[in-house]
Amino acid sequence: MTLRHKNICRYFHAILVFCALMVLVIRGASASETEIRAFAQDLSKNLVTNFNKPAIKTIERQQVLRDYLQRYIDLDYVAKFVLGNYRRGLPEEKMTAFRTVLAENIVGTYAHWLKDIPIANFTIGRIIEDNRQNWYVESQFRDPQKKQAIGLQWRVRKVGSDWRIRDLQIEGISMIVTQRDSFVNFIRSNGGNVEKLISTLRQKNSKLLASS
Amino acid sequence: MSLKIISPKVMKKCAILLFCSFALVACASSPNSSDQTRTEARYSDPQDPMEPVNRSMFAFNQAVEFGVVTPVSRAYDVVLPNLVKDGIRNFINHLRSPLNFINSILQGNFDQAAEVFGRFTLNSIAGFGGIFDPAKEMGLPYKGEDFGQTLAVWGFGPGPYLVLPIIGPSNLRDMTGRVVDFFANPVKILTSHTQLDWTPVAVEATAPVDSYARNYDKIQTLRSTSLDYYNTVKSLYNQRRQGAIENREFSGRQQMYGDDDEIDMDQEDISSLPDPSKH
Repeated sequence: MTLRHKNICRYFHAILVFCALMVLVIRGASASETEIRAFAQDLSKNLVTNFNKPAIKTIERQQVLRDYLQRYIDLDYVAKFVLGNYRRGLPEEKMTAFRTVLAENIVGTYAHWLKDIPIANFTIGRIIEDNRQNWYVESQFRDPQKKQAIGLQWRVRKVGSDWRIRDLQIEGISMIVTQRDSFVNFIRSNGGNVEKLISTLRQKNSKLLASS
Repeated sequence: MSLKIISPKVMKKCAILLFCSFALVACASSPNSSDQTRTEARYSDPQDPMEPVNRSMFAFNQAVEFGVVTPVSRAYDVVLPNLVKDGIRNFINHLRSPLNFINSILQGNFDQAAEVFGRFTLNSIAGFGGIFDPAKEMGLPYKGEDFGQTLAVWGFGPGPYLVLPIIGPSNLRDMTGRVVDFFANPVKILTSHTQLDWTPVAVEATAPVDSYARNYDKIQTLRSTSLDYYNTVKSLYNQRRQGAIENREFSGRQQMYGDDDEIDMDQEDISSLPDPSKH
């Protein structure tokens, strides 16, 4: 075999290795996409089944949401994100207290939203990865009363071995960015007092849960 | 008619307006904490240096909302059938298209300008003067572009957050853009000194009523679930504007999370974060 033939062989060898690597990367990506699609379909099916019952009770709705929070949401991340820089130096027990009131706040808020907006024709669209290991799931449901399509985008990420939702964007508005802006401004206007936020949220939650 | 109206006098007015808008927006910057006492700076939102005034204006707007906008928009929603409301909305969007076209060109977004032009032509002919929106069905949805967005594309910052009487949330850049859009609107220029000179004002008055009627339930839910409704509205406004400026699609979504998303929060060293009490 001449030197030229050897070089050609090396060249094809390199191409083969590159192709094999690309196949592995693409297969990895599509495996994640399949997992996310299954995760999203599971959640949307549960949402439609549980919240479109004609006589769902308030307590039941809230309990289902608590269960979803455990199963689908990355609450640790959300709690840190919405505190902005005020999570700096926050003792663990305060962080735990904040996580608890935040969880109840999310339950109260979404119970309110889901009471007013019936979910129908939930469809999952494109699933896109960004360059930070986050995936965006495009979805849409129709408000049968208003005959409007409402666009929902979920930002999901693998946390440990499970997929978890880190944000929900409704018509392009990020729920966690909105909450962070609100919480950070509240803490700032109260002299950096996170405890004040926790106690105010507790009061707010009791009203929200009673009326949702 | 139109040649007579787009006279050097009008052009001169537009040029002066444009110059004033540059001068105003050039002044737009984040507040300097050295202008305030340290305590005030620590407790106030740097993007909202006029918060007390804005909050008063917000309260005034809410009173107007309860007293005027809510009954009018509820009546509008209940009395008019969906088909008529859709027609009104389509027509409002149609009349805004020339402005969208001009702003798309000023932003250097020629693809979008072509889309807007195509949409306008199609809806003018097949949509009976813009009352129907066949362009949307053909994959050309309405995209609003205003001079505030154009200024942002040209690199002007938002300036301080403002709550304008009746109009609502804004900032220095968008307020300037609004004024320029109103006076430079081709529909206004073409209809001024004619019997149709009320059209731009009617559009500006009807659009918020239509929008409020469509989103009434969401607004009420948002109000009742918010920790501080003023701050929630501010955040929603800023996010919506940023999304509109970036013509944000999914591929660009990650930037809205800022630096907080750079860190893997499971392992971050929180002591490395800047102290929020020091501006």
